[in-house]
Amino acid sequence: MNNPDYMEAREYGEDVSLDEERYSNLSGFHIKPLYGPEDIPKFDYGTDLGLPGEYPFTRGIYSTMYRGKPWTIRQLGSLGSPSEANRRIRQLIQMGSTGVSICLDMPTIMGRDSDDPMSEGEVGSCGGVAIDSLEDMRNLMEGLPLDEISINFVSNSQSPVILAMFVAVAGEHGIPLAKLNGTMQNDILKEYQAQKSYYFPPRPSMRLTIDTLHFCSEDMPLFNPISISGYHLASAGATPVQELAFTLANGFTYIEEGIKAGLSVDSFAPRLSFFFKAHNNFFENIAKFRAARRIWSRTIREKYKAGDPRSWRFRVHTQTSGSSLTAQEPENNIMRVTIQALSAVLGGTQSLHTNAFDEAFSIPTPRSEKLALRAQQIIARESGVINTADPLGGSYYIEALTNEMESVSYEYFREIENLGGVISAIEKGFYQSAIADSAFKYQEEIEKKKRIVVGLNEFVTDEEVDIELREPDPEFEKQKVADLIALKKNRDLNVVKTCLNEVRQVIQGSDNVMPVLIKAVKSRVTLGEIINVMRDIFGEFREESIY
Amino acid sequence: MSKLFNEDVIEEITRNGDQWQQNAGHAGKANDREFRTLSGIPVEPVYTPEHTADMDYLRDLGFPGEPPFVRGVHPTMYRERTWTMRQLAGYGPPEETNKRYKLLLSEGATGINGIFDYPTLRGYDSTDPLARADCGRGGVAIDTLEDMRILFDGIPLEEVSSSLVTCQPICNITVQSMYFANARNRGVPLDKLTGTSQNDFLMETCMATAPGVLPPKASFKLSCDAIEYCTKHVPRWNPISFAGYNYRESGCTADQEVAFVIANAIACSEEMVRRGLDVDSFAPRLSFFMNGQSDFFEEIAKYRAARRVWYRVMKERFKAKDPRSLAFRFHVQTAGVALTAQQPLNNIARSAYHALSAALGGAQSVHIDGYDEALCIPTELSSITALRCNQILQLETRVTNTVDPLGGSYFVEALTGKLEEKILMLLEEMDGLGGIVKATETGWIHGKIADAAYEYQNDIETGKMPVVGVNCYRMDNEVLPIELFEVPETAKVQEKRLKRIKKERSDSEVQRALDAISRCCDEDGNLMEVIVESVQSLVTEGEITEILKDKYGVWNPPLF
Amino acid sequence: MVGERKKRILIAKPGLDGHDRGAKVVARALRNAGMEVIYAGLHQTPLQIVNTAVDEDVEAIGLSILSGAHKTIFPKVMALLKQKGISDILVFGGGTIPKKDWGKLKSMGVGEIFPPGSDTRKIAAYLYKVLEEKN
Repeated sequence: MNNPDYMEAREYGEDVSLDEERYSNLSGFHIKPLYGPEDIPKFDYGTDLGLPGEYPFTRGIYSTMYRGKPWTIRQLGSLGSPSEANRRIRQLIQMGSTGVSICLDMPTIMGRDSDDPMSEGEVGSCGGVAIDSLEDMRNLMEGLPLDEISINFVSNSQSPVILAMFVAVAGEHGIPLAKLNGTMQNDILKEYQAQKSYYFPPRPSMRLTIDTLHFCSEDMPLFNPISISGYHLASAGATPVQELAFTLANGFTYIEEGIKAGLSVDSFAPRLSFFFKAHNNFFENIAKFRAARRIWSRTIREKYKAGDPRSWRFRVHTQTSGSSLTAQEPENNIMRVTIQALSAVLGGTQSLHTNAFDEAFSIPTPRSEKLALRAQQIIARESGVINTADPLGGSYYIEALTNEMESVSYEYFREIENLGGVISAIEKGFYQSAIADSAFKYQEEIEKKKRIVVGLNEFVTDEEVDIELREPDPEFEKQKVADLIALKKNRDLNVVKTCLNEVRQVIQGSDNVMPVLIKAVKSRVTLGEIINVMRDIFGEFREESIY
Repeated sequence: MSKLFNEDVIEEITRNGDQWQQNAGHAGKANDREFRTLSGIPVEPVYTPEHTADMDYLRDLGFPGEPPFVRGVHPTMYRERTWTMRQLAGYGPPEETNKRYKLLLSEGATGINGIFDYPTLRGYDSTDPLARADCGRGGVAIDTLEDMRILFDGIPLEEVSSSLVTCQPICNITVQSMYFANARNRGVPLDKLTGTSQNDFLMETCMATAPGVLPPKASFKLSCDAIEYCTKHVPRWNPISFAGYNYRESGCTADQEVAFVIANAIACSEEMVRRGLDVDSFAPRLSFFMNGQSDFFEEIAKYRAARRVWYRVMKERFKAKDPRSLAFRFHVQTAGVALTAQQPLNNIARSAYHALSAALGGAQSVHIDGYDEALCIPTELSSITALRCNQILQLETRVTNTVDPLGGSYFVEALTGKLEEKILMLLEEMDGLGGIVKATETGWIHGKIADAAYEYQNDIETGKMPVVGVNCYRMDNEVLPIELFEVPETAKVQEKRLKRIKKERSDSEVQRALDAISRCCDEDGNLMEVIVESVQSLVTEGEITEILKDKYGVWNPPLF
Repeated sequence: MVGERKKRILIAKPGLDGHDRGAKVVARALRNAGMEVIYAGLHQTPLQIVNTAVDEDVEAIGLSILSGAHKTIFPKVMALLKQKGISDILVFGGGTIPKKDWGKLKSMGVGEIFPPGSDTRKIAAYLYKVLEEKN
């Protein structure tokens, strides 16, 4: 057909061959030109899809999904000093955020106080809050209605201490633990696999995690003590299907460890939540969510014998893909984020963070942050996609893609099992090499132009980027260190010593560490001091660098 | 017969669905007034095979590039060739717009999309006293063949596909003629030209109109003259692009948008057949210009429904045989009316998903509005950003990997069916009124659009239709974060040029040209045949328009 | 070429940040381009980095910094090298280091900075060129 609408001023790309590679997605699946009923041959509506809110939850974990209640808009809100962060959080809540994520600065992430020599130059970095002591947590939570909002702590290896501080401050606010709503990331497995902010070897770290799970399952039933994260795996280079498989495998590992520690699966499984990335590849992303729900509910019900339907629900927070955003022509990132956010919504996420367009330069300015928030509000209020649950259900392409993601995931599960399980696979370097391979392939594809990034390797302009950046405040570090030194002086050193000894004792035994930690933080023992004791006993983990 | 589920499975699913609905609470109620598409279709809380139980895959969906074309007009769609990125450009005198054309082409746009200023669209010269204030606004000013030469200077006409947004026949008959005449002067044979003209009589008589336009019948005749001319002489040109976009911007609903364009196309086809042309000689070149509005799934369903309806109309009513006659080919522009003056950068997010729905709906080409749409015509930055959005969709999201990715979705198929139903009802109603020209003369179309527009505004003012930044999440004391475009001085430039041209041209040639046009009107001949020659004399658009209005009279559209 | 010594490059991630995707991809790319790459891994102090560089007898050190700590770390590394009397090791870097800071770094003697989106082939070509010139 000779349609002149198709005559173009410039031919895009090479000759069209129905070249397989060109039509593959991020996970490497070859996409067919057309999907029809024959691509889902053994499709059974009842067993494969069911209805939203019903097992196996493929179509969504709640029956009316966004019609009943929109997803939580959960934007990251942080700034170096706890009191400034507090101000930002209040602003975000006023602008319409219904939940807040708080991330920590580099030293806190690495379990070091602001006055630690290794912290120099990094206090308040990356838009994270510097938390050294209970004082900081108190300033961070000043005036916040803790029983009305949902707070997500992006904390991992330091979680037991952060949790202890949060519990102590909630107590000061007079809020019963049972009313506290929120999440803690607290996923150490992905640290070894991708983010690398681990301290001790996997097994003692796992013990600490299980202690927090146990504590929350008994005293903080509304709190999600762990957010099993695929986002970081994907950022490190994992493909969407790897993100899916590895995250779920990690989830199953936590289940197994909890059961081993004597917990009944239904006592903690309902509060496990997940954290996914919304990639650029629109449909692949949507299929990933649906496959995740189906695999999780089937496995947890059939393999781990969970009886409570709330245990079967795969609840997920999503963040749009930071690594897909460019430094070149940053306005383009607004479009990318919008499309990624839409795919997360069509995938059925429970909460969503959209990145700001200046992601590749610095942490967001108030203006870029607001734009990111608006994208979610526009999707929620204007696009009509919330009117019905799982609108793409039944699409041959989506169902076929969902099936394929599921079956490749099971292949990965088998491979990990053969290696002796997740922790064993970590120790054997399986994740490091799988992810490094994917990351390298991705870069190669960009350099060979098999994968196009607009403004980067195609349609490149030589422009001067002129956007305002948020600058870190060098004075802040000085002040923070000074405050910390003062705090350390003004406490009862005997009490501190006793507390640290108690920490030393409890981690060598098998009792739950939380009560001891809570007592310690109340006595103004710092985060770094606690972690250092643990480092002393558990040792530091050194990974073999595989690239 | 290729039904997808057998009856007892449907029964079981229906039963489970009913039970589920009982348990689902308030939000699970179907037909809840809260949950409607933008055009008012109620949306169920969930769609299952129950809702597509009557669907027969081969009859209702089929394969792309084959009847009934629901899944796409070409077999491999974007795998083979992505949609054309056709960004609108036009402002000031022709030499300025020429620069913007070249910029967009160099940044990767794959076609030209040129719009003309208000005076030109209405057939006035830049020097006409009525025209001065609007000269160069809303598009490029074109008065004579010389302006056309400047506009396309340095642009390879035989390589670049040009969409001329002439809007209505009164403009098109002259401007289009100028384009062809210019091509010939440059040595490019007409049969090598590719492109589209808008040329929609409904634009002239119903949309954004004023008193003193050509009467519907005359406007319609001019439109058909152009179609006939192109069919005979410029075979690769789409001589008409039914402007559903504008109908929608004026306020009508999604089903009205489709019904009106198709009714218009039916009228043109009937006239062409009456003039003795075989349907397959002109139908393949009828094209459509649709709107990319805010209700994501309704828009996708709308495009799919349009394809099915068009196929059946062409096949059953006109007995068309050529597959190209049966395919509803369309360009989409993302909705301007959905963009806000408040917090303009939010519009980037809006246009991104409007364009995505166009891609998922199988558009042949897409223009994305600039984020400053509600404030000014696009600056370079907003123009390029919009282009980049198009490129990101094409190159990064991989939605182009497969054709009609949403095919089979219970929701989308149900909505497609529902829209088809409503479109067919409207077509029937218009047939009953005697066709679309009649419906225009009586003001029926104007009434429908006015009603819909009023309801739309009401919904915004009552908050029923949330618009971020306008009736929710507002910002007081907002400081505009963007620069605004300033239209360069045009009136003086055009005036100077016209003065020179009028001095230099041959008065007798001009008179001969005008007489020929006059005669053609009297003889009811094809005006484009004559005007294509006339423009060589450097007669102005205003001079031509004057004759046409003299011969055909003027008409005042009804007000509501 | 036979007998010609491969260029030895040290890639390191100083400071506390653990995001090592970029550093690893660059390390592999340089290795593929024919250099010998020592990847020092995470959480390196400036002193550890300089010591490794000396022990491994490298010609260049590439620092990957995403945390904004470049204004502290680069000067430290340069000072340590000076202290040890080393003047022939090229120091270069990558990560989220804003353009406006490049001038200051260069004036300290730091080489090229490669921001997000940089092409690894360019990095390899740069290293070859500069290290050749040094010889």
